Amino acid sequence: MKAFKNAIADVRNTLNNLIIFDTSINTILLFLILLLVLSIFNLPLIYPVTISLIYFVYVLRKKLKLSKIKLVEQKYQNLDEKLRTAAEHSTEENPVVKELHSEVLHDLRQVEESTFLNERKIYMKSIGIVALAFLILLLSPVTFGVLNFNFNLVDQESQEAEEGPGTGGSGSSKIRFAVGSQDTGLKKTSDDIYGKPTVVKLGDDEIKIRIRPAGTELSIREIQEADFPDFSESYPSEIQAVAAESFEEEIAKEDLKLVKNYFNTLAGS
Amino acid sequence: MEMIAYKKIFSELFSEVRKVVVGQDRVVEQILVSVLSDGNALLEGYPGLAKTLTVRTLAKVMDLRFSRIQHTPDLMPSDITGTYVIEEHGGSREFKFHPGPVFANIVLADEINRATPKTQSALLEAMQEKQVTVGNTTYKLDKPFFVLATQNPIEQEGTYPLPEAQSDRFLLKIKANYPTYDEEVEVVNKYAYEHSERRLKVVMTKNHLLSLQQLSRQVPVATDLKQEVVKLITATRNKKDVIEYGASPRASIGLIVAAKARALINGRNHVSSDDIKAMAYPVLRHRLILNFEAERKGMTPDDAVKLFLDKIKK
Repeated sequence: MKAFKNAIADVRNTLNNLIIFDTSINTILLFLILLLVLSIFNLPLIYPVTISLIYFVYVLRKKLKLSKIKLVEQKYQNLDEKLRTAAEHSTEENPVVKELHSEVLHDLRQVEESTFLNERKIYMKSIGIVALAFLILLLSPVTFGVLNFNFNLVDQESQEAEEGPGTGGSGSSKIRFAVGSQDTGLKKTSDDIYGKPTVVKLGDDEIKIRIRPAGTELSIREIQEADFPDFSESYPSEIQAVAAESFEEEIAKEDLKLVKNYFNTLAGS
Repeated sequence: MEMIAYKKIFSELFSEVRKVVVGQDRVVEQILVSVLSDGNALLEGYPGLAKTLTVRTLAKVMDLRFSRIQHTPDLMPSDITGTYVIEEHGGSREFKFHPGPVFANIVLADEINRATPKTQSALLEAMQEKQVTVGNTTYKLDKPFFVLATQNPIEQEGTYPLPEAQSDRFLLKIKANYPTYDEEVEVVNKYAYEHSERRLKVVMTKNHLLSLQQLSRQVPVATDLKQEVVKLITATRNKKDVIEYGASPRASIGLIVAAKARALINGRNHVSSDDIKAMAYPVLRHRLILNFEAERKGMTPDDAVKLFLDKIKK
């Protein structure tokens, strides 16, 4: 009876190992496919990793729950119903069950692991994994920027500035996608090296000013000897002051007295 | 002894019975199932289908005491169980029990539905309790004890059909069908010329049969097959559009026990789903009461059993 129990445990362990192996192969294949597809869209590595992990856990759990005994019965018709009956009555001891155990034990010796593995499928999957890995390596320089979803705040803000105030500013515009999020030790390309735009007030109007980067590239071919321009003196001609003519009012003689009186009255009041 | 050896014994038994009975292998198998399950069977078939001959032959090859009771409306319970008679010994008189035909290993209750319910009850009590009470004394029946009651599906006038509660006590209801053309030709060749009784070999003894009955109970059944049986039986109680009254839990037990016995007869050390399917018909056909609508459509209990088996398979 102990031999029978060991045989049943052995069958279960072997099939569990095969299930883990098969699921792992499938998961790697899925991961590589996802990695290839998602790298085209420049999405982060976390997506294929998460999806593959979820797939692995879900499928493995589902497959491990399956009755291993029934899996064997499906492949070996001579063990159909016999194996599960024997397994369920492994602790019973009577002549009929004893004979059933020895019969099943004999039949189990003919059960081969290879029956549960489709060699062709495994071979094809392995080739697929290798091919996908190479494809990803080859395409990695090309795939960057094919579909660049790397939103830069500066670009977005320039777009907003062009469209005018009030047109932009949706929630999605705040998302920043880093191109190839490898950490190079330098500042990330998405960071704005020019600082924040300054808002200037001119009277009651608010003006947004953006500092555009100036070209700093230097071309060796364009380097020349320094110019020494000839500065000629050009002074303006002399300016002379001329005595101004006094302005005399022409008042009729008969009115002089009247005017004099008028001003005297004003001075006296 | 290995299962293959038991199979050989049963094969030998079948071949011995075939020497006398032609074309009733299925009936013989089901009677054997009933015997091994320590149950009783109700055999239904038209006259002349070798019902009595089959049972008598089986009793011979198993070395069992056989008795036959022909049921008639005037048959009394004491005619079955036995009675006290006054005997004179040396001038003194005393009551002495004279056992009736029920004191045998295999009792053929021919046309049980012709006897009155009171007489039927006497036999059914013996079937159930394996004992007979006459006066104040209870007499144990010899083991193995097996009753095979026959019913004629025709000539129902003046009969007392077994109530459902009574027929439920029979483990199986076996149907004896007409033989095929070739089988009938063989029957004619066998019996139309010779008249001598064939010599039959005893294949197993009474003790042997008792140990086989015990062994039959030890045949293991897988859990999912047991669940299948319970699903089948409960389904008969829930399908009201076809069934008026479904089978009782006794049917669940009966089906498992009968399937075990069939597995043993076929030399298998476990019950298969084929055993369940094969035994579902004889176990259930007398336990299902069809409703008016189903009967109007011409449905038989066997059709209903098939319906349930198909449903369970899905």
